[in-house]
Amino acid sequence: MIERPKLIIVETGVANLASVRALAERLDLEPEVSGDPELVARAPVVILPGVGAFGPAMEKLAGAKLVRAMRARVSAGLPTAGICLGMQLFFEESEESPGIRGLGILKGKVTRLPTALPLPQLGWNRIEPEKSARLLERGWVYFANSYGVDAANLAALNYAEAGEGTTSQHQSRFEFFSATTTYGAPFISAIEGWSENKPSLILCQFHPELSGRFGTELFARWLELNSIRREA
Amino acid sequence: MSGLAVRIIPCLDFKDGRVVKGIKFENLIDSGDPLERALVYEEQSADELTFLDISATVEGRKTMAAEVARIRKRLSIPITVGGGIGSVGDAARLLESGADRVSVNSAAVRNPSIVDQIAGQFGVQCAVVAIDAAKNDTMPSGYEVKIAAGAVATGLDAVAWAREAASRGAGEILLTSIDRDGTNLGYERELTRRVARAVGIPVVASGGASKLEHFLEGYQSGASALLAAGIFHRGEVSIIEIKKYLASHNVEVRL
Repeated sequence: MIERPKLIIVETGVANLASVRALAERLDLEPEVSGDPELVARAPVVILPGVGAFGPAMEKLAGAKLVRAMRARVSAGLPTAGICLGMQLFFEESEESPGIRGLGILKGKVTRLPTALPLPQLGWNRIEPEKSARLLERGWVYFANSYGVDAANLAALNYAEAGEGTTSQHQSRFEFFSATTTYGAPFISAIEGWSENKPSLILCQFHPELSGRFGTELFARWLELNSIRREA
Repeated sequence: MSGLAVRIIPCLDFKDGRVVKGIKFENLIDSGDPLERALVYEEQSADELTFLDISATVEGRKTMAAEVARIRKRLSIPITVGGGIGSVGDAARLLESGADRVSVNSAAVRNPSIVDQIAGQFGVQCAVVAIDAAKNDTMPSGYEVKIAAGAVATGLDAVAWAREAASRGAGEILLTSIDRDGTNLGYERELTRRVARAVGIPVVASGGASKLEHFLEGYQSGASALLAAGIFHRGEVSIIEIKKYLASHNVEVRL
């Protein structure tokens, strides 16, 4: 039997990872939950999952020496995904947990969605990728969030400067394209980060694992473009 | 406009791991297998599924968790599980099995701090509070909360309880009208309106929907999601029909 590539789901101390595991299975990958920094830094594919609060998740990552591991794999151009809170953790900080530093891989701040509509935003909404996006497609996806990255951050969207283990080279090496969604106000609902002709980074404010066929297909394309998985 | 689609949610009642309400699909042999039914609803563009466990035994509940795990592996839309959740441990077990949200009903009335605990531990989006309400003119809002599957009146005002649940961290209210449940008369609009206005979180309307118009009424009353059971199981109204009808009235749906 041919071994399936491993997909490491980063341990952030949340209980409900069954949906992300199921996504891995649908993609024909072997899911494994791990908090081992060596493994996280080097595994072929890593997902930072997305349930819980910003502060506790960052404490868990920092306590397990995973901040450096995540930064290292992203800067090495290894395929890395962040889902919901997992996307938010890539930024510098969040209104949800003031004073707690995020992974700080991307510039920008997470804020409470500025709307009078019910929060959390719970349900299906549309993502609208920018024209130059090469991985993201227009469609309906499932959200469960009260926080997000305001679309005002779009203009400055970039690799954060002068972080641990990064150099100014990263800024020029990565190219980012994004999708926005409107819930009262527009926010960044997904980001694809390209380096060396591969979209090594994919961040989704929505839940691809709960977005029906659309979510599975998005991740299947992502893996193919990263040469992890080929169409059977 | 929010941009968010109104959700259509089929609800499946489980007892000891089996679906118990009469179900008859066209072109589908009734195998009694909840997985098969769940997949049919997903294919018909259901926006999520709600499972209600009416098992009365510990064994039955274990079977339920195993069924959730089995369905989760194949289903790629959200699952909410409710019925008999009495502790954070019960909630954790179901979330680990593959539920995306858990709904607490009687236990939250008896011990409201369970709402804070579930929201605190798993996030507000995981914490659904199910409220079964019945008309009672002596209540400030005109509706009283009942528990134990409607058998026990609590003396709690339905709107006040919904507000408290939201302030404790509930991410959604699943609101069932006991008076309308099973009547085919449509959602209890006044109840839905009052609760939706009182809380800043999504409200799922439940109980009584049998016609396309009822779903539009539920939406117009302020519900973010519309739940039904029997009419889907018996094949009387299809989810796609409902969505097309709502779209024709300029309601955002995922089609």
